[in-house]
Amino acid sequence: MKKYLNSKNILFVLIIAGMAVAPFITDAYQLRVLISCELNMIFAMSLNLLMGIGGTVSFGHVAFYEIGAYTTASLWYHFGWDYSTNFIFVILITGLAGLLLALPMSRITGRYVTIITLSFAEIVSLIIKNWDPVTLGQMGIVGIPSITLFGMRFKNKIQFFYFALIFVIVTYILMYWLVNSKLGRNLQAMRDDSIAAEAMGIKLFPNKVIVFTISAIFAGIAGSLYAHLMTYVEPATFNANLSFNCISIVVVGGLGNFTGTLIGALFLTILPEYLRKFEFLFKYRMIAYGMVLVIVMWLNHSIPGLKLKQSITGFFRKLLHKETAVEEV
Amino acid sequence: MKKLFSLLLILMMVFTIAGCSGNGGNGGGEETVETAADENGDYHIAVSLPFTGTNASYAEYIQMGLEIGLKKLENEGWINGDGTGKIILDYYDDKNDATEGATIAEKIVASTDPYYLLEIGSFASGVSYPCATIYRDAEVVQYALTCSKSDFLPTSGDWGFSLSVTQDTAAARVAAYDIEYLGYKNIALIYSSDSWGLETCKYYTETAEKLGVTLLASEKYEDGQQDFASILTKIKETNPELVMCFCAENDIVLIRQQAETIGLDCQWQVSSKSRTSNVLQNLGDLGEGLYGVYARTKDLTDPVYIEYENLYKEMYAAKFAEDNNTTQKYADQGYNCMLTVIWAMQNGGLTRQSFRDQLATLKDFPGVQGAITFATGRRVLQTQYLSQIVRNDAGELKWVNYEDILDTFDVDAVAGLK
Amino acid sequence: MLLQILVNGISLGSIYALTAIGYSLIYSILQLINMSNAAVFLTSAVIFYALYTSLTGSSVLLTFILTLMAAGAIGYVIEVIAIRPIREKGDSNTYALISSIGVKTILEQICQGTFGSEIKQFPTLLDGKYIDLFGARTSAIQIIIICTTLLILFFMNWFTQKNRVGRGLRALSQNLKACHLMGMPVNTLIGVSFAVGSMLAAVSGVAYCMYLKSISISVGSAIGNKAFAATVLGGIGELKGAVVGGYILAIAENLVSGYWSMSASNFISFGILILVLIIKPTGIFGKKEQKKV
Repeated sequence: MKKYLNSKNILFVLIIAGMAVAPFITDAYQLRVLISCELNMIFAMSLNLLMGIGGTVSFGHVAFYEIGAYTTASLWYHFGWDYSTNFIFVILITGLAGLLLALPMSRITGRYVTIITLSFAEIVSLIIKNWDPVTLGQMGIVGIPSITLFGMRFKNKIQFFYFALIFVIVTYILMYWLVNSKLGRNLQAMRDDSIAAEAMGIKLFPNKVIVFTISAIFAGIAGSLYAHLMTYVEPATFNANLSFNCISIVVVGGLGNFTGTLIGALFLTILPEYLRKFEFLFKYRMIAYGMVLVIVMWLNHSIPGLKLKQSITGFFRKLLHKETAVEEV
Repeated sequence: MKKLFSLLLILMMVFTIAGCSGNGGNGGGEETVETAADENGDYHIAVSLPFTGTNASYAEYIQMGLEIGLKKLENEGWINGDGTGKIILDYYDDKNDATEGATIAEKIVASTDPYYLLEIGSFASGVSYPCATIYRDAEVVQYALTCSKSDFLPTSGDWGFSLSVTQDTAAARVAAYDIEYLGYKNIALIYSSDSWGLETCKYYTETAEKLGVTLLASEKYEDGQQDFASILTKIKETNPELVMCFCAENDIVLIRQQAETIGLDCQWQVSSKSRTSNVLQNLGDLGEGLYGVYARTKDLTDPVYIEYENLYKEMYAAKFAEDNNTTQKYADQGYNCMLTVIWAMQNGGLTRQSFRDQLATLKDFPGVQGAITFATGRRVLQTQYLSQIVRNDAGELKWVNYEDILDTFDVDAVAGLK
Repeated sequence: MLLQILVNGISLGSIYALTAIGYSLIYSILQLINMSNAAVFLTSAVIFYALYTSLTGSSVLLTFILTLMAAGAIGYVIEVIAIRPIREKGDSNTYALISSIGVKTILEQICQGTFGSEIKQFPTLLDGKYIDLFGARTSAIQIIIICTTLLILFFMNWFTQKNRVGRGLRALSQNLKACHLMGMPVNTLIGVSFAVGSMLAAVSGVAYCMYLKSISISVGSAIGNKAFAATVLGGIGELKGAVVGGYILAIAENLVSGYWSMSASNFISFGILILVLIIKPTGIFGKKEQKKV
């Protein structure tokens, strides 16, 4: 038990507890923003696995998000299936896409991976734009119903909120378990020094395939939730800005720090909405957003970065009069 | 440093809480209201348009039109005619992004202070769609004045309105004008690869085939494309007499200029979306002879139009001069929208439900672009004229509407719409 | 038709090539993908337009020189404000990347706020003059662009091989730490590399708008990714790689959209890129990296 009692997990529990009571005090708009936060959390955690643990900067993570959204939307459109069935296909298809993207990684390393992910996203988006019989192309799929599980339809956004919250929790726990498993340790060794890792007998390629697949699946799940939330999907929505936004969340939250990702998602999703309040910023809202990004990078490259973590750990140490293990990022 | 970062964390939490507690108050929106007015007797209307991004110019013109409509109402003593019943417009920027648009929609329907009577916007159908279900479920009128996609109205339940003629009608009319009236048989098509472009292309091609013309080429381009040289080279090979462009106003300028560079010599036609003064102004001499489609009252001495033009000159003199002393089309639409909203409110539409019911009965309303009628299923009925950029006697290029054509040429019958 | 497509492809390729060198230069020194480059492309075109219409009147050359200076200054300032503080802490490039995304957002929004989203006419050179090259109609501005690009390439070659500052930049790209220890003004040199990259972006931005004869705020959006792809295709850090990559991409794109469709052209250009990287992971001219233990 003590093993799990560290600052990150405590903060995670606090965040989840805070979010769990949120629907009782928010109105529909605030709830909507929080649901967007949840989707971004799942999406960004999946990217953090790739970036923070796997050491791969992906510019095309939106591809999996898009595939996930379109899988569930197309299946509903063509067969009228509900989410419980579609969910299985979302996992299968996005997992397969992740596997496909991982294949060139046997030869390509480091800086070139970034451009491969970017090209992959462009190609996926072009396929979805032009594969009219399946995706309806640029016309978009209209009227996707709210999530239906085994014939039971979600009637309001509060149910949707808790449903997505479950996914946030599941994703976090799975990521935590992964990072601390053999696979996670292998990945971190590969990230820090691939040659040494290889010399120690870690096979690079199979590990990469696994991490790409898992990451793709969770991004796909976030995308599938998005399709049911918006009730409408069209290719124009899934542009490169979503990828960059996601990278920003991961980096602001701290690479490899999943609690940080949750905070980063809250911060960067709520910030643009918050800036709406200032009327003088009306047309310059995104400038303020850009400045915050630069300043955050400037100050300490992430909000819950090392320093903060130490101070929080110190705080809990005093509180509990116990030694708590300080983890390295 | 420690303090600094604790501070940052606290700040962030405040953000979270303050950002969340928005304008909305708690829960709310459920209580039944006699009228939608606030304690001062003022009415609030939310406007959600892309004020930033590549479509910002459209949003600005619509905003101008709305403000002119508001000014007219102010001169008349607001809704009640005695200086009470003010209308206050709140603008929201949706960046032409579906996710942002839906978030704003939730904010608008959830807000109790101010309580919005209706919402105006969004600009693109891609943004209007996800919002439509939100407004439908919350039973708030969504006045998506520029949304012309033909299945928008069914999607929005009873709560969606639009001022644009739906694409199945508009595109068929253009085809009828081109083929039967102007008599072109060799036609090539360029269209933007978005839902609007695809739909117009589909109906244009269908009508053309009905009239016995097969298009020489139909080329689509992706959003944000700047270099059209390759598709124009391809079209040049087919030797068209007319190139029909379903594209945004910025794109027709690029296409026409690059066609000149390539040496593609033929007639050009745009849809109503690009029949704007910006196109006239930026094309310069190249614009001469460009066909367009337009809806406007036959009579420019119409008092509705004169009043509008005077207010336009008074409020936006610089813009008016910049646009060759004409009112801009999207401002016209914004003004029409405001006039119909005022009409519905003055005729008893002071709650969300009664407003919708009243607006749906609109018939032969004198707008600045001719009479507007909402037919069954809230479909807009409006006449559209063929129009062209012509050099007048003073040597200036102007858009001219050929309104007499309709006396002898029944476009709707030819297009198979009757 | 084939010749016409090739002419168009080569003039577009020149624009890609110029922008790609900017990416390549900074990447070779800092291993940073400078996302703000595409925004500088747009900003300098906007500056050129504003200067031309308001201050300098009709002198294209004077406006161009002023724009270049402004772009250089913007590049240097970007480095000092957004990249240097992060770099000096020795932090990962990912942080600098996010910072450059922030800068990109800021620049784009400023351009939009001041310029608006309408398309405007852009001053061009020798408008309406054409040369007939075996049936391919070539406008004067296309020839000017191609010649300017060649001139700049020769200049950049001289700059990096013979010039003191340029040689310093090459040294930086080989070993940053050693340069620092040798007492070279590393910070200034990196600032200069940003300035040069921005000036190249400015040249291509202005040239592109002259070619289109018009300017709108979406002008830089498509170029950024393409130029970056061209850099990688040719081999990162290689001057000639960026150039060859730019021309290959532009010509392939024009061929595919001329003979097939425009949607397929993007598909093909990124397809080529993936294929080349799978066959030769370092790009066409890239040298094999030695893994250091």
